[in-house]
Amino acid sequence: MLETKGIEKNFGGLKAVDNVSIKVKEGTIMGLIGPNGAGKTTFFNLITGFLGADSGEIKFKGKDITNLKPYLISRLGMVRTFQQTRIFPEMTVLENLIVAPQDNVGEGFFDPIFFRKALKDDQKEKISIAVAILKDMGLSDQKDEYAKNLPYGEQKRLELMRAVMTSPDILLLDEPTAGVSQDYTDNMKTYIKKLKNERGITFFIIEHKMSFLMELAEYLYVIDHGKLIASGTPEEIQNNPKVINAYLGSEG
Amino acid sequence: MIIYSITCIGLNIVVGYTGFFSFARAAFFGIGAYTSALLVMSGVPFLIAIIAGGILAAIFGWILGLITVEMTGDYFALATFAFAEMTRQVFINWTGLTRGPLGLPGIPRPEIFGFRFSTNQAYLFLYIILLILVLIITEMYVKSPFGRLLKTIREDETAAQSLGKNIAKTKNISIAMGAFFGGVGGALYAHYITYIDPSAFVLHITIFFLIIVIAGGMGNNYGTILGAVMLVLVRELPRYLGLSPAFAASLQQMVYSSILVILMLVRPRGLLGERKLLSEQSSEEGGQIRNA
Repeated sequence: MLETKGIEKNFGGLKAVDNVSIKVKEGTIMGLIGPNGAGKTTFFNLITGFLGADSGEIKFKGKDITNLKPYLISRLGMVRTFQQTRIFPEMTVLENLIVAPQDNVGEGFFDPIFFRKALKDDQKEKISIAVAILKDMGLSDQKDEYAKNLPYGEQKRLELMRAVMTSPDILLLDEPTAGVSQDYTDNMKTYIKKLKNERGITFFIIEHKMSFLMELAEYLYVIDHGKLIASGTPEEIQNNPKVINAYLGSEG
Repeated sequence: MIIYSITCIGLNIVVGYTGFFSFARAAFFGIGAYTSALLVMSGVPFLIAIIAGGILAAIFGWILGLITVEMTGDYFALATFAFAEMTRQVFINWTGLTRGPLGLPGIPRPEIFGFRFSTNQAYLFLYIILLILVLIITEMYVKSPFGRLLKTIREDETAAQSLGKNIAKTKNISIAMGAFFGGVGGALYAHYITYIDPSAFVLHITIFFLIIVIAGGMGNNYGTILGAVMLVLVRELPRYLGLSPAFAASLQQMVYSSILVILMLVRPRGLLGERKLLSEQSSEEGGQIRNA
């Protein structure tokens, strides 16, 4: 579904991402791990178009999307979340969600004047979808709260829900459980599984917490210093000396 | 008061909803004023002329938007400031068209279908109707998903892009819309005052507009109107109190600044804050928004 070939990105003299080729299969949960500063987020930024690649090719659903604008990539069905959670703080939880769908009526220039009926019907529908998702995640009570007033863990969940509202084919999550409690982490795990099973969404997840991906992911890629150093099932990765070396340092 | 309301509703779209501090307001105001004045003086009907003023301002707004598409925050403010100064220089130096610093005297009062609005009462009546019209149109926009999209730009452009929103285009529309109402406001100003010259479109007036929007409440059109009423009252009050002009002028500045400081401390969101979408209500009424 998603494929990169020899993708590279340099910042000055630093090779942030160096010749990385991966494949994400449809209907799976895949993980990307690596120590701090390994280039994981840069890699995500390249795939989603927030950064331009220096060389290499990115294909999504068979289409070349290298260096396409982020909003166009998102419209193709690949939506991401951010490590530094990016919600819309001064909008309510519900507003955060209903603004997300890509087929919203009424976002064009002429719509608010000429398509008032269609717009209202569409909004009603989007609100009911949003309310259902909120119920699913147990956030119904806070739906009229400003997003900035939510605890951090719930902001992370809100960001994920907002991405789900766009009806994506694949979700790229950048550290979905960074800085949140164990409860939220478990909740997130359940929710991701549920999304995969019920909506058939493919996941590609960056995570620091090894345990999180060990349980969730079917296949893992490991990068260090911008280079792909290993790939395999969680068991294979756990026992791979290169990975242990990258995480813990060599035994000398 | 009403002229300022219309202009500032336009500004509110850009500053309050989209979240960009634009210092180009005086430029759009001036473009609208000159366009409409010159058109009416060469025989074009009043209504067409003010709309033409608005449209020309919107075109310049669109161009400004294209140039500043990558800019945010302070950079955007500076670029708009430069644009405003350039426009003013054009007003001053294109003497063949604008008569430069001499200004344009004898701009006709509005005339619609043969009826000439010459008394102040008729004037007020016409302008109130126009204000209501502008208010209805902009409310339709800002309450719609389009308005919500504008807010996502203010809140977090990157996140909005990640959701597949064409931010550059939306931002441009917002600036052009704001410029349109700025232009219409300028046109109305020209026909009210009947004399314009480049000194009417300096930075000072942009700041006056910004104070109106900030004091009234960013992201709320009624707040903007309230802000305009309040600040124009403050400006005109010394005249009725019989204070000497020199004293009144400095007093004004002090009062403005005090209002700003007090509001920032007591009500940082302005007199009337932004409205919140409430779910119970909206699911029944389909996207209605009311005062939070």
